Amino acid sequence: MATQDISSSPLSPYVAEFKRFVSDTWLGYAMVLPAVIMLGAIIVYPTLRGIQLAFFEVSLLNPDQMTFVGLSNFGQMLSDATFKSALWHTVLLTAVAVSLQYLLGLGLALALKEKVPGAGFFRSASMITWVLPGIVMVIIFRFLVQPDFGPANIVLAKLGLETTYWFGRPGVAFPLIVVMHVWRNVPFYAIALMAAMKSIPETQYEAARLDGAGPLQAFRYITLPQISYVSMIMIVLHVIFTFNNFDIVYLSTGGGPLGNTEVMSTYIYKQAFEQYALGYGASMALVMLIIMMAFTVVYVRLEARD
Amino acid sequence: MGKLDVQHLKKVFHDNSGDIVAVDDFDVEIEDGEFIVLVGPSGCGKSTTLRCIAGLETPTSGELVLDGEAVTDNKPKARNMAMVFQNYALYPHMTAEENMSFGLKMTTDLPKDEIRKRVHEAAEMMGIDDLLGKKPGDLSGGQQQRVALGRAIVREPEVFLMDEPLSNLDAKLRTTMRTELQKIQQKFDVTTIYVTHDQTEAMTMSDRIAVLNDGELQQIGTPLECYHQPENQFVAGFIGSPSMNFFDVELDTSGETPTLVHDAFSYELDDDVYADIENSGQQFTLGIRPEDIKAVPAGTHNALSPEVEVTEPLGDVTYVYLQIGGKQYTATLEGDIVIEPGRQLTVQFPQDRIHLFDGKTGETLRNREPPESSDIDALVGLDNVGSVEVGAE
Repeated sequence: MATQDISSSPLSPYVAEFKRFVSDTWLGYAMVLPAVIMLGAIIVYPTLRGIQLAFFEVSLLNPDQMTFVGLSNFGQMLSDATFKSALWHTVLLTAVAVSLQYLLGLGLALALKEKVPGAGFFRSASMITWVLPGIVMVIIFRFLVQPDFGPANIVLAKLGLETTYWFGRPGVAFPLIVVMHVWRNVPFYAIALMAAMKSIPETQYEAARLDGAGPLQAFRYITLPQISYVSMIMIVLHVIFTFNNFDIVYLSTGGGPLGNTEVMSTYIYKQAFEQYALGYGASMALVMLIIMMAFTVVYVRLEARD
Repeated sequence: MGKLDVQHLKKVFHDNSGDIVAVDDFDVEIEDGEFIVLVGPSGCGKSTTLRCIAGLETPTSGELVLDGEAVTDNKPKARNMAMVFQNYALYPHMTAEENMSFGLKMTTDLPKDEIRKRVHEAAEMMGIDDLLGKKPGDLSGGQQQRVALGRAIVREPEVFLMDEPLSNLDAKLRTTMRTELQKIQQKFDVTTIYVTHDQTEAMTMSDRIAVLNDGELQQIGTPLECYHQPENQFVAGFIGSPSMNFFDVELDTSGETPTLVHDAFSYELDDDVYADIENSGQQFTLGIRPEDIKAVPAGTHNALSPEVEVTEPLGDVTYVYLQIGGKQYTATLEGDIVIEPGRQLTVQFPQDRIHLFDGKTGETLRNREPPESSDIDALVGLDNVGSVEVGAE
């Protein structure tokens, strides 16, 4: 912005600006500095260090010995079948879980919005799954599908159907992971969507009734367009959450059985901390970071639109 | 055609604390093209009545007959009515054009071009054709109001329903829109039911006023009928601004002439006035409109000399607030009369201008003499817009 004032000394605007900066703003900067240092130490440094590691071969057992290998870590990914299936599982899990969460959340929101007796209680109660710690939720689910005394198996046995530890059954473990994600997050969608719906004045629906719109048309033309913003925010956020999720998968199946539920976060963890291949893990994490950045850009754009 | 017959409409809301009768036995026949205003204080049931007519509420009992056909059980869309809401209820995510075409899109099979044509015609008539591409958020209150009206007009309904459509506008715009609404209504000649709590709107816009209180219809009649011949004390007090002065009085027939006795004055009655209240007990309410109070020389018959509390000169008229028996009353005097607060003013209630109500039921026992043309001129003063020549007495 600084344009030089040629009539006086050419530097004087800069000097004035500098003096003003020093006198007015140094205190402000001093106040912000600790936070900046903290953020730098806990976010910027590890991120940059992770990016750096992606181009080295380095073992967790001897982290000081780093060998620069260029892009060979990335090349290794291309021929790593487990990596490819982990990436596919992650994308599939994210797509299926987020879609189901949104649809069920929307349905729950519509139900909770109604003025029926007990709706207030259900509104509070439905949040339980969301506030439950991840480990507690996983333990509940593991208990449910225990071979002998798990309620799910007791019911199946009564019906004369097969019983087993379902988290250990290929083809069932992955859907169970999806179910856990859905079970956990649907209430959050419902509450957010319900809040958006409640902000639509009742008179708009009355006007729509007089305009000849039935319940479905009112939903399509009045409700849906006005909750689209909150919907997009919720979807983008949960794409990020689900894509990143580690604890649900790791605690329930650990990526098994036979890699059936392996996702990016669990595979990266295993490579880095179980196989000690810190460099390879970091390079996969970088790929994940780039994918996540794309969604973050969408999110920031959406936020800025408001 | 839009002849609407509302028969014994009743609406009861059920609440934890019991039943609330919002509308009780509302019965009125509305002619085709008539502009009828439902007026009353907050909670009097006027909006509920309108919503029952629109089909947004189901009446507890009663019938709605539109052009000879019962529509009580019809859905809102099958009633051929359009409503303008107090907050306009425009769809915020749609442009003005989409807002206006929504009803046609939902209820008709018209091709897009035809809908577009109709919307543009209506918009042109409302003077909003340059706003069609804008969303409600980008429009001012007055523009939103026009779009809301346009949305109602474009559907060519039999009946317009308006729920306090002007109350969100500022005072100046409200006056402009008031006349504009009347023009539109006359142009389309559509039966209109208009709800307001503003008695000025009621007086100036309507063919007939229906005054409601506590869910009950108090009176239905032309504005001037309601003003000059109120059927009870409520209507007398509600219609007119500033409102009618009421004095609780007791009839004393012990003396030579029958006299109404108030704490602060006594008022001797003429024979014809007395004849109207003779058999109605002892307790009455004497009513007189502020503009009917006359300033007279001290010592005049039936006069009283209260203290002036405040004067409000408006230019054309002056409101004088008088202290009578510990209460404040209003007199409207000519504009150039300025009286200092604290002085005594001698005033008289002309016998041909007083109203008398039953002290217990509030029913009218006697109304003022029917007005002459000079009185009708004076009436316009209640609008407070000035510019009216008051007939010289």
